[in-house]
Amino acid sequence: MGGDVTVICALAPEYVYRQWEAVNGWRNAGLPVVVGWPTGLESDLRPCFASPGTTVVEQSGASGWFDLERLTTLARHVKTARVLATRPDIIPDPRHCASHWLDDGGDPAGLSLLLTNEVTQTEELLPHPPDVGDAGGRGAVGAVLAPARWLAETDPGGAELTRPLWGEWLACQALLQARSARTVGNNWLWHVDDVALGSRSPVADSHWPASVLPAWRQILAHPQASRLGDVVYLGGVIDKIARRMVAEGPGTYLAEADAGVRACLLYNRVLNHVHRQVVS
Amino acid sequence: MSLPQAAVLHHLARSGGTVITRCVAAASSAVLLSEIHPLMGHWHDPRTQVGQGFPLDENERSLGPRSPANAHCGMVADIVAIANACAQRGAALLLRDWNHIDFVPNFMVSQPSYRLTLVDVLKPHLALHQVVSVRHPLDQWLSTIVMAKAERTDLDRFLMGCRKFAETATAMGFVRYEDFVADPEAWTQEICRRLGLPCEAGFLERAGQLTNVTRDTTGIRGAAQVTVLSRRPHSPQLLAHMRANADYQATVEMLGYAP
Repeated sequence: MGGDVTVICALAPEYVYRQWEAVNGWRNAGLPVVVGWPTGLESDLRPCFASPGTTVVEQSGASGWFDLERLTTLARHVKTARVLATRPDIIPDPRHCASHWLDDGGDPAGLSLLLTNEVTQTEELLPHPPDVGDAGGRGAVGAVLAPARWLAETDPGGAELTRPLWGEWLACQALLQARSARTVGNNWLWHVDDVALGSRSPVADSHWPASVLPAWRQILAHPQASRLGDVVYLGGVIDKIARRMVAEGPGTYLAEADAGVRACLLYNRVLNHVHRQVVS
Repeated sequence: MSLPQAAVLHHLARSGGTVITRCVAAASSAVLLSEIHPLMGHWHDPRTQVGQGFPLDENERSLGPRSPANAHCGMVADIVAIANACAQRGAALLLRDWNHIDFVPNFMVSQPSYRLTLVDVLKPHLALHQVVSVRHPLDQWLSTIVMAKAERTDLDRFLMGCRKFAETATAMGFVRYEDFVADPEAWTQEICRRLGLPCEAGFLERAGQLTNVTRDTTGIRGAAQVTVLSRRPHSPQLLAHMRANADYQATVEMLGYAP
C-alpha cells in the first residue's frame, strides 16, 4: 500500500501531540514520513519523531502552517513533491513562490501546481498572471483563489471551519483547469473561484465532502495524471468532515493515489483517518 | 562523565504491573515515579510525585503546572534533575513506564507508536536498566473489560498491541506475571538484580503499605496482596475469537503461554 507516497508533515507547535499520533499512523502503515521541525519548537517528543521510518528536517525561521520555505525544503528533501503551497499572507505573491522555487535550485519540472490557499485579498495579490509557471514548457502553474472574504460574508460561523476544505476543493478544480489549460498552452489560471463559485456551492453545508471526493477522483482518474506529476493534498479538515470523507470512500484516497499521486502533503487529520481504515 | 542511572519497569495495563512495582519499590526503597509517559505529564507529573521532600531545581519548577498542551515539554528535564538528585543522595530512581498507551489504542492515543516512547526520550540523558513484565493476553483482556476500558478498545487492535509489546519484550527479555505471583520473593530479587537495585528483606510486608503507586488495585481482585489469581469466567466465543487471531497466536507463542 502506498507505493511511492511520501507523507510530508509540517509540524505546528500547538498540535505536536496530535501530529505525533498522525505520524505514528502513517509510519505504521509503512509510509515514509518527512517531518518539518520548526526552529525553536521545544518538545520531549522530538526523538520519537526521528525514530525509524521518519526523517526530521529542521526548518529555519518559519512558524506558519504553509510557509513556503518550510514546504520547499520538505518537498525537495523528498524529491518527488511537485506542488507548492503557500499562504499568501506569509508570502503574498505566487510569482515570488515560483521564483523562490527555481532560484533555490528547484526542478522546474517539479513545479506542477502552485496553490495559494486562503487568499483574502485576491485582486491585490494577483495583479497579473505570473510568468514563471510553464518553466520551459515542463511545468504548469495554477493558482487557487479561495475567496475567504466571500466565505466569511456568506457564513460567518462556518467559514473558519470549512475554509480549508473549501481550499482543497478549489485546488482540485484548479488542477483540472491546469491540465486543460496546459493542453492549450496556457499555464495560468485566473480567478478559479469563478469556476468554484459558479455553482455557488453551499459552503457550510454538509454537501462539502460529497463535492470534494468526486473532485479528487476526477483528478486521479484523469489520463494525464501520471504525466502531470504529483498532487499534493492540502487541507486541515476537522474530524467530522474527515470521517465522512472516509465513510464515503474508505481507503480510496491511498488506493487511488497509487495511480498518480506520489507525494502527499498535509497537515493533521485526513490521512490519519484514512489510514485507520486501511490499517484496520 | 557517566550518565545518571534509572531503573525502568515496562508493562501493559492490567498485567500485574502495580503489584510488581509495589514489590520492587518496597524492596529497593527507590524513589518511585509511577506511570510516567512523555505525553501524559499532566496526569502523573514527576514533580508532583516526587513531593515536597524532594525539591527540584527552581528552574524546573518555574515551568508551572502541566496541562495537556505542555505535557510533552520539560518532563525529560524534570526526570534528569530527579535522577541527578537521587545520585547525590545515594538513592535509586525507579520509573514505572506508562507504556500501555504506546501499544494499545485508547482514548488518549488512537495511533500507538509501538515503541517505548519513554525510553526514546530518556536514553540520551540517562543510563537505563529495564525490565519488561507480561501477562497472558486473555487474562489481561478479561481484566481490562472489567475495568470498563474495553468499550474504548477494539479487541483485535488490543491483540495487535499485545503482539507488538511481546516483540519488544522478547527482544529485551521479560518476566511473566504468572511466574512472579507464584514466587514473588525470588522474582522480586531477580528483577532488582536486573535493574541494578538493592533488594532488602521483608519487602512483601512493606509493599502493601506503599501509597505512592498509581493505579492502586484496591477493590480489584488481589488488592495490595501478591496473590495467584484464577482466570476470570469468559465465553467460549471470546476464546475462539482470540485463537483465530494471528496476533494472539504470535503473542502466546513468543511469551510461552498456552493458547
